[in-house]
Amino acid sequence: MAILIAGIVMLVGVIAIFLITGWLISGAKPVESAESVTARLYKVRGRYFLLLMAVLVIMLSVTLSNLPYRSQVAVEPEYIVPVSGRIWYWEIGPIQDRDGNPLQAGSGPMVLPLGKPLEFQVTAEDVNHGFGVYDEAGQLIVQTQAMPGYVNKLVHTFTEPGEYHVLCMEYCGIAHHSMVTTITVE
Amino acid sequence: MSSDTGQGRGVRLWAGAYSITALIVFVVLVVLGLIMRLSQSGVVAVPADYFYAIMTLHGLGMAGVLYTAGYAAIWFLASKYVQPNMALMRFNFVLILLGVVGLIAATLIGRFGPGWYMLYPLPFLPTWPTWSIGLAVISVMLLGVAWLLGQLDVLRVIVGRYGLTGMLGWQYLGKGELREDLPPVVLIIAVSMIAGAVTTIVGAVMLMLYLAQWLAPELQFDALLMKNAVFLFGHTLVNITMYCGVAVVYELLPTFSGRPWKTNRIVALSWNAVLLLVLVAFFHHLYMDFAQPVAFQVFGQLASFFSAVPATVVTIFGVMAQVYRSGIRWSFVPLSMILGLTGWVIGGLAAVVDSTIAVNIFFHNTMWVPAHFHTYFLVGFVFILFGFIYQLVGSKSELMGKLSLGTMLAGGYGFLLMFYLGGLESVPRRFADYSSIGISSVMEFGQMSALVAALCVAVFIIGLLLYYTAVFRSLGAWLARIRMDN
Repeated sequence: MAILIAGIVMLVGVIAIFLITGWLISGAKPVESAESVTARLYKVRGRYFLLLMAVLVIMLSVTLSNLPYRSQVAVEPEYIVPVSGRIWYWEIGPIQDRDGNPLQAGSGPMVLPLGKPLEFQVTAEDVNHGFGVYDEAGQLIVQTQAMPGYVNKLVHTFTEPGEYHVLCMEYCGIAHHSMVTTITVE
Repeated sequence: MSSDTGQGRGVRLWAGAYSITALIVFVVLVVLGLIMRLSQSGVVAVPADYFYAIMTLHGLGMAGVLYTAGYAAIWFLASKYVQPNMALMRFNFVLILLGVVGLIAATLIGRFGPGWYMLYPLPFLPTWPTWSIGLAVISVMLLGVAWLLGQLDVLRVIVGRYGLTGMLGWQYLGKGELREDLPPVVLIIAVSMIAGAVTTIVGAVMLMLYLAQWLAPELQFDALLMKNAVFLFGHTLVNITMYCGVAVVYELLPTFSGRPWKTNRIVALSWNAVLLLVLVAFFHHLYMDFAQPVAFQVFGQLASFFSAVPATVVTIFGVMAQVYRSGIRWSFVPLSMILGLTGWVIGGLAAVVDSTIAVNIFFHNTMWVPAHFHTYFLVGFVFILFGFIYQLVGSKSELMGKLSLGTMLAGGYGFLLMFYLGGLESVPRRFADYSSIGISSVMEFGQMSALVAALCVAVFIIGLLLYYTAVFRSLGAWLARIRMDN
C-alpha cells in the first residue's frame, strides 16, 4: 500500500509540476507590471504556505506513528531469529524462543513460523550489509541494515506461507549482487 | 555576462577553465554510467570488479565535478560583489586535477570499488590492492582540501564586505534601517559555503581516520559513527551543489526577465532555515540503521519534509514572480534555468517521498534512490549549469541549444523513468548484474529497465554533443573578447 501511495503521489506531483512549468513558460505574455503580478502571487503564496504546512503536519502525524524501530513496535515477538551478514553470504538462525532455546535442530533449510511475530536480530561480521526480504511476487517487504558492532532488531510477522528471498541491500563489495539466500515460511 | 557585469579577465578565464574542464569530465562520466546500465541489462558483460570500480568513479566523479562546477559558477557570480583570491582558485584547480587523476588510477587500475560514499569499513576490504585504498583516500583528501579552502575563501571575502550576520540577511529580520542591500545570490552562497565548510571539516576528520587505518590496519572505528559522518559530509555536499545552481538562477534570471530579485524578510528567513535543515536532513540516509537513536530518525524526516517549505514557498514563487507576465524571451539560458528548477522540484518531491520512514523501508537502496538524485542532478543542476556556461561563453547558437535541450530532456526523463519504475518494482540498486537474484520478476524488470535506460542515455548523449557543439564553437570568440577587454 505504501508503495502504491508513493507511486500515485509521484505521478500526480510530476504531472502538476510539468503543468505549472508549462503555464509559466506560456504565461510570459501579455506583459504586466511586476508589482501587480507580485501582489497576486503573494496572495496565492500565503494560501499555498498554509496548505503545504497542513499537508506536511498531517503526513508527519500519520507516518511517524508507524515507525519500524524496536522501541516503537507494540507487538511482542514470540521468536528470535539471529541474522549475520558476511562477505558474501548470510547466516540465519537457529530460530529461538524468547528464552534463547533453539527451535530448529540441525543445519537444514531455514523454516520460519507463519503468523508469529519474529524478531530478527541483524548484525554483520565484516562490512555493512542490508538484510532485505522479498516475497514470492518479488516485492521487498521489509529490510534493515546489518552493521558490524551493532544489532538491529526488526520485528516482522509473515502472513503468507512460501519461499522468501533475502538479498543484500547495502553494497558490500564485488560479489554483493550474489549475496542471496532463501527462507521458507510455513 | 560580458565585462560590464564587473568580473575581470582572470575571473572569466578561470570560471571558463573550470567550466570547460567540468564539461569534458562530465561526458566521460555519463559514458561510464551508460556502461553500467548496459552491464545491468545483460547486453554487455562487464566483470564485477570493473563494474564496481566504474560505479565508484562515476559516483565520486559526478559528485565532485558537479560540486566543483557549481562552486566555480558561484565564485564567478560572487566576484561581482567581492574579490575571492584568484591565486587560490588556480591552486585549487591543480589540487582537484591531482585528486581526479589519483581517483582514476585507484579505480580503473587498482579496481578500488567501495562506492562513492566509501562506507566504513568497506574501503579496507582486501579485494583491491592496498595502494589503491591509500591513493583513493589521499585523492579524496586533496579534493576536500581544495573544496574547504575555496569555501573558506568565499566566506572570508563575503564576511569582509557584509559582516557575519549581514551575509545571512539578519538585518532583514529586525526593524532597523538597511544600510546596504544584500543580493540574494550572496545570501545563498553564504548559506551554502557555511554548510559546506562545517561538513567538509567533518569529512576531513573522517578521511584522516581512513588514512590512519590504511597506515595502521589494526585500528578500528565505530561503523555507525563513521556512517553518520560520511552522510553528513556527502549529503550536504550534494545539497549545496544544488544550492549553487539555485544561486545561479537567482542571479541570472533577472537579467532576462528585467525584474529585480531582492532579498527581503521572507527570503532571509527561508535561507536561514535552509542552513539548519540541510545540516540535519542527512539522518534520512540512516533510517534502516535501527540502532540509531529514534530521535535522530525523526529529525531526519522532519528536516526532509520541511525542506519543501523554503524551496517551494520562496524559490519557486520567486521564479514565478520573475517570469510570469514579464514578457521574457525564452532563449536557451532562461529556458534551461526553468527546466532545471523543474527537475530540482521533481527530484525534491521524490526525495520527500523516500524520506518518509514508513516508505523508506520499501525504497531504501532500491532504484528509487538513484532515481531521485539523478533527477535533481541530471535534469536539474546540470541544466542550470549548462545555462550558466552557455551564458558565460556568450554562445549564440540558439537553435542548436534548444535542440540539445529538447533531446536531453527526452533522454533524461526516459532514463529517470526507468529508475523510478525500478524502485516501485523493488529492483535493488548497485547490482553489477541481476541474473543471480533468483527472483525472476525482479531480474527481468531490472534487466529490461536497464536496457531502456541505456537507450535513453544514448539519446541524452546526442543532446549533450549538440550542446557541446554550441558551446565549444563559441570559445574562440569568447577568448578573443576577453583579450580585447584587456
